[in-house]
Amino acid sequence: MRGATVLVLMALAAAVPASARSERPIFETLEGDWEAAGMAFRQPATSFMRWERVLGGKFWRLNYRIDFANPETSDFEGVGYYKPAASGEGRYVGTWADSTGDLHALDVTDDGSTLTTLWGVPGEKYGRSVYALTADGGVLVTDEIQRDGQWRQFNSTKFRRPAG
Amino acid sequence: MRAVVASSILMLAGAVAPASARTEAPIFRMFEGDWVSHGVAFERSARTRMNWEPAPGGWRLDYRVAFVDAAGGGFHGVAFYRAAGEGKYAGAWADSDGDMHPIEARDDGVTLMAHWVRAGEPYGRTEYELTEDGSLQVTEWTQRGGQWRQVNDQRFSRQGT
Repeated sequence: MRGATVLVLMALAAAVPASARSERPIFETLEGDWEAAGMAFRQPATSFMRWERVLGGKFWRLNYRIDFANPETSDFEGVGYYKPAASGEGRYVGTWADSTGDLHALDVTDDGSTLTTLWGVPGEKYGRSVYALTADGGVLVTDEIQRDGQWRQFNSTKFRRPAG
Repeated sequence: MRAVVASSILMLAGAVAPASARTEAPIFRMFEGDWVSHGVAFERSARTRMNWEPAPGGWRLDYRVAFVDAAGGGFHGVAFYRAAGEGKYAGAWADSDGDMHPIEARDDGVTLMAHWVRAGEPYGRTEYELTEDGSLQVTEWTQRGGQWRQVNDQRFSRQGT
């Protein structure tokens, strides 16, 4: 009887059109701690990310920190909050604050393997941060700023799960 | 050298204002620390805690309400503020109701007036007022149909006092 029930459920699941299935939000894959040793903002640094559900599960939060190897360079710290947007599946809105004094609204798209975050104001200070899952289980974070209609990359960091 | 390197990074990212110019905000220094309020919040019996502390680029408020009536439950909100001119601040709020909105705030030395903004227009406001007895009075209003209606009023004391 139990086996028959499983078969019925599998058949029902298979009958659901792909477009109606809710894909796993990328935040669930990103959840937890990440670390990157190497370069950040073109300087030797160790970078840390932590993604977690907060505020009663209504938001995902990113804590992002860069410890620069050069003690004369001020470390960087930022925090982002993300929640589903009314505009549809895979779309999110958010807000960002960081140690440079930046405070941005975020316009976010999740395509299942890449989270693309547009921040700032088009025509003024406008950038995007992309969090791409890689085939080897890492996350590649790239940051770009738009100048004269062109995207200019100013950071690229490859994260892995911390050892241990 | 430190300033040169840091400035280069920030300019590359387009953030050029010196951090020191954005974090000097005396009223937040007076708010800094833990506050508690035992009484009524949003017309329900509650214990409420506030924490103000320096945060990346400015200041952060953590606000938690634990309702102690039969229905229980709670509320949790966070806000970030950064200086945006003399006595003015820009901010953002997110909470466990799923609400998120920009904040436009100003202070007069003893009171921080924080307007909640939606589609460029204020639709609510919170005032954080330091009182002569060392308390922090928090009063909130929402705007409907052009009328302001008070929705919350709490008096906080320093935790441990």
